[in-house]
Amino acid sequence: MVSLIDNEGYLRVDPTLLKLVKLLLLTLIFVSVSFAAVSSRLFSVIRFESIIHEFDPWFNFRATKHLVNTSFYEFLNWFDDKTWYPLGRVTGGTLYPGLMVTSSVIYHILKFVGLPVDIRNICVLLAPAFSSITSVAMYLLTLEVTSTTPTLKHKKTAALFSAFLMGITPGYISRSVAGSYDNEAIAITLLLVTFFLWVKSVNTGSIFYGALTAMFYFYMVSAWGGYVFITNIIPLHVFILLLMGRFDYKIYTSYCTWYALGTLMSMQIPFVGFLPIRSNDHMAAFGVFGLLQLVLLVSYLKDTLSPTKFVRLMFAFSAVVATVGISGLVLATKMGWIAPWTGRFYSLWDTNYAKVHIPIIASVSEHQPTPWSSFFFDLNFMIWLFPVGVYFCFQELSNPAVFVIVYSVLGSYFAGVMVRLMLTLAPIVCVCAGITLGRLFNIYLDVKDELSSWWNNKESQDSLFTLLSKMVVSATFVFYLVFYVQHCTWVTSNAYSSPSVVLASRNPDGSQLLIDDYREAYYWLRMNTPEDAKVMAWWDYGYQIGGMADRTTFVDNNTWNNTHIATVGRAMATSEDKAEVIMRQLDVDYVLVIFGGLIGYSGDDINKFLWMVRISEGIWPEEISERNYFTDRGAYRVDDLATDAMKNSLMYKLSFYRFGDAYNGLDPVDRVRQQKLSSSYAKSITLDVMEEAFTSENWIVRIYKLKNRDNFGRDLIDIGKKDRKQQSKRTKRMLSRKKPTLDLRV
Amino acid sequence: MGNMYRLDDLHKDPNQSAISTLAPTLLRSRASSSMYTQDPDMLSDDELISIDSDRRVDLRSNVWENVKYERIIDVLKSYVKERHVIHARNIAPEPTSEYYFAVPGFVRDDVALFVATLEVPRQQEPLLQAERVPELSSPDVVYYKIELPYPIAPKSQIHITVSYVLTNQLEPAPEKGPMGAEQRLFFKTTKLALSAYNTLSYELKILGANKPQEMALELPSDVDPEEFKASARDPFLVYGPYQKTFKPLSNLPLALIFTKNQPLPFVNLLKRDFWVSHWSDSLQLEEYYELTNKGIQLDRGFSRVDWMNGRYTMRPTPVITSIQIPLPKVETSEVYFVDKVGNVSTSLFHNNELVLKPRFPIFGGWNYNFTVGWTSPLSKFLKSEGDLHVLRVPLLDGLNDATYDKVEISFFLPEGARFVGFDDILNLKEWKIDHKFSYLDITTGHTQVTFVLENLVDEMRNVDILIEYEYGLAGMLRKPVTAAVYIFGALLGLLLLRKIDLSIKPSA
Repeated sequence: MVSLIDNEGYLRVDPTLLKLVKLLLLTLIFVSVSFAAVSSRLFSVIRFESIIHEFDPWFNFRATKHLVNTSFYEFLNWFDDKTWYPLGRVTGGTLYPGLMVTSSVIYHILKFVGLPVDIRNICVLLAPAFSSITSVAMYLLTLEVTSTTPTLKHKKTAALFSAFLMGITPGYISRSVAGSYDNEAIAITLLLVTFFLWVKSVNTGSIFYGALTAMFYFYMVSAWGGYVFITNIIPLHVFILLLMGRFDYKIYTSYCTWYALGTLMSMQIPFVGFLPIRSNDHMAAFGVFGLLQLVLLVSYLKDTLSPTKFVRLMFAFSAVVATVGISGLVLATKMGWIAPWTGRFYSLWDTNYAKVHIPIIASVSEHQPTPWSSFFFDLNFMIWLFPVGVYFCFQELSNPAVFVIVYSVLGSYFAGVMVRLMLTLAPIVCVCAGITLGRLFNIYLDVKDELSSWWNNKESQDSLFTLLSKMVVSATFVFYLVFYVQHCTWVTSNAYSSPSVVLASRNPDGSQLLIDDYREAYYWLRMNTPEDAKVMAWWDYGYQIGGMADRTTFVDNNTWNNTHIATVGRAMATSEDKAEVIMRQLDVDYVLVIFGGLIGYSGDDINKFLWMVRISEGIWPEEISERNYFTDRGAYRVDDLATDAMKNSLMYKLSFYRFGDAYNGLDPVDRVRQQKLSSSYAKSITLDVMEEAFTSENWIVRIYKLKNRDNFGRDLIDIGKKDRKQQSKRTKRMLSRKKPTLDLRV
Repeated sequence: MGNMYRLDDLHKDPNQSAISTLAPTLLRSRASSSMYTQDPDMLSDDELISIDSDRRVDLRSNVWENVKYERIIDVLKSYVKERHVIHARNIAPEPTSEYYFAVPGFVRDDVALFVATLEVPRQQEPLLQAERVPELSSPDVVYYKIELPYPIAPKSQIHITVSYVLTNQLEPAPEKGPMGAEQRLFFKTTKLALSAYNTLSYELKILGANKPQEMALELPSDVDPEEFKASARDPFLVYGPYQKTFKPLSNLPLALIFTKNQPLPFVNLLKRDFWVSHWSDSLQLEEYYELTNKGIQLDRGFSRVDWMNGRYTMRPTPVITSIQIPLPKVETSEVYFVDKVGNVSTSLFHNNELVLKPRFPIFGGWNYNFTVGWTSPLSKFLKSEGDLHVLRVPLLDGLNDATYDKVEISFFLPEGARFVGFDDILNLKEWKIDHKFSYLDITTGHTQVTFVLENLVDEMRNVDILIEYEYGLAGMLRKPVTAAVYIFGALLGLLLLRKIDLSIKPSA
């Protein structure tokens, strides 16, 4: 008998059946959330193709291919002589291998079970696949937080809501669409799993969960530099709990297990090495570890000693510890045993720091401070549910609730400093919004009492109004949820699904037109230049050239060697003759520039040019000055009124060389800067040391070849000048001969 | 099988372009000079050439006499086609059934296809056995032995047609030039027929040599230069006819330069992978090309402005701007065009032809590697009898005018299929059987049969490859059953694992 109506008139259902239905519903919800999460990330694959996006993913993809084709140890020892020419890069020791290892493990497992999926497809679809795991991890985390906090009842509703919100929030999708094969793609999943395990281990005080936390922390360390976030947030959580007087053996056990194991394991990653004991980023974790031992000692002493003795001892003890600790820190920093604070770290605290001191960090658009609008853009209505959730956490300050608060505060601050750290804020916003929504719907959808009282006593106006108001509130939030889904889909579709390698445009008749200039040019390089050709381009394109054109590059998106990047910037910013010297020293064969002036592609090199100037000015201030590239009125011009420094710079010449000829004698217009060059001036832009080797269909990519030295040792620029003089004489003669002297007679 | 070899008729070539009239002034045929005989000592009358002790080859030049010898060279495509129409008479006292055909030694490695036919009325199979005789070959001459179907009586005549294709013969001269420059091709051949026998009447016609110019060659002067001058007879450039006796192996070099504003596509490597699936009744073909244009190269870098302003895509240029790939007549689906950096969106169908636009125009010396593929119904290519299947696919699809240096054709037969054999394949260098693990191949993998062919041209498209294999119901069921067993095993294992309790708890 599955169900029956008992003598009180209630429907009784078999509990096992109920359990089954519950399980089924839960499974269905997870399947739906996963489906929504994965499918909304596939816009780019459907619209374009299964292709790796943007810049960094190209390097990760290339590294993954290397790993798949060789062995793990060869990968760790990989010295890549195709990047950072002539230095080369110890790639195996300077990357986080987690992402590549994950893909290659998936690749080998699939191959083993008879599914030899192409490694490119695995890389492209890794991020969507992990996003569905992320929503499960999110469910577990919220469940863990809510189930141990008595006031945050209705735990499953909140957890399911947070899983759903996390699945499609644009803040996370921005880094995990199909093809966005970046460290963050798996790191966010690992971040949430680590946090879930941490909360669980604090709740249970189990070494098992502490060790698991350390394991996933290790995985996180191997995958993303953002692991420092965990390294600091867990100690901070513990520290605040200590201040609140919450010290217990559960915290002690889980923290010590995590710290000891996690630190040891993280040191196994070649790129991290001894950083956990030397870098100041990791000092907080170490300090809290020491503090916990002291607290333990103190609580032992407190139990054994008399109160007066204990107080006296405490004062002496804390004074000694403080002096020794601080002087030790200062000394170690001074002696250089521990690394100084990194530039990126400073820029986390002072948003202007980078712009003033490290232009190379400021030049990256994702390192800019976050505009207010992007909070709404990336998080939609969660941004105002977020504080409510935090408020709920304050109501009952259980250990997990404190964790949520700590994470919320840190996450909000960092998200405000750097656009890309929106990614770390999104999960906690989802937790808080989930808590809020769960509570809200539990109250407002619970209409059992109202219904029964309305049913029993039809005259009761009160219950009817309560019912109505509950319905209105619920309906409003259902609308917000629907709107959220719509907003997320729209943002994903319009803002985050462009591979940026292929540009979509529209024909006059409305049909889609793909602008595929990047691949055209990269493929040309790959097919028609010698295999050891060295291509100089601004560092943005380094990874793409390495990945698609398979040619040696000078600088790429791994920005640790500022001087080398500045050298390339200097070659681009100085005049042709000086640039020639630099290029010959660097052994350049080809130079690649991006020029959007013909079709109005705004992400081109002329728009990035100021960063090249600034970065090289940082090293050679006597030679290059940013001011020289602006007109007297402070305008950034590329037309006839451009400054001499601008007109003579190599970058300018490479971009505009023969630009005028494309307009058949009319005045050429730079469609990005909306400036009109006169045709006579456009004709006078000459190039002597370089020769045009290839220009893509829409002129977005222009490739030049450095000419060989003259056989007679003459200066290439002199030769060019001489040629032009002769040519102009000839054309003058031709013109004078051609032009009939016709006067208009009236 | 043999009669499937068919060269397009030289005169009905669809690509035949208008050939401008020959400017006689351009012809400087003072190049003519002495006819020289190769190794006259070796090949004097009545001499038997002894190769080794147990094999003697009879190459008596007085066995045959070429009564009429007409030779046509076709340079309309990116390679050279030659057709020799020979009326020969047996002048030996006894019947003979072998005719030796000589080809100049400098093209020895470039003969892509050699076909000899006997023109006899009411004859069903005019194709003749022809094979190279390496023992006879010298650095200057390569001989082919043509086996006649029956001995020819003394004093009677036969009418043989020998056609062959020579690759790698045309090269641009000059090698480099500015964009839009006229492409002049240099072509070297012999002015006379290099025959092993006396020739009584001879004529040479060259088809497709636009604006020809003969290079002046310095030669001994025992020949009247005026006699070997060319004349233009639209659309041919004609030498002769000469009504005089040419001695065996008479030779006179000819170096011709002519204009051809078409690219010279050359495929360094073509990989053709056929994936056979009986379950889905589909034959998937994937072709990987390594294409080069052997035409005139740019003397400086590629200037996009000049390319745009010159409107070069509107007129014939020696640049490959699009690649036409005729699809098989049967229905095709899932057509794709990718290269090593992803999908190339610029492709379209036109009259059952796939028109591919490469990412960039392919100038002389430039390379472009790409992959195309499509799926067709397998039943259109398969003849089955019980478990035995014969698959018949064209040797080549693809480009309309191209030379293939190396072609690797692979057949991926379904897992569990047994390869039985194959029919004669042209220019086959080697073949091997291997295994390839593809989707859900758990036991032995797809049976992969690979044939490596060398030196092909697009006109061999009409030739088919036949392979035979055995694949029955047992084989068809093997894969789903194995997969099911593995999944069952995995689920069973999961069930067992769930029974194990590893938790550490104080026992209650």
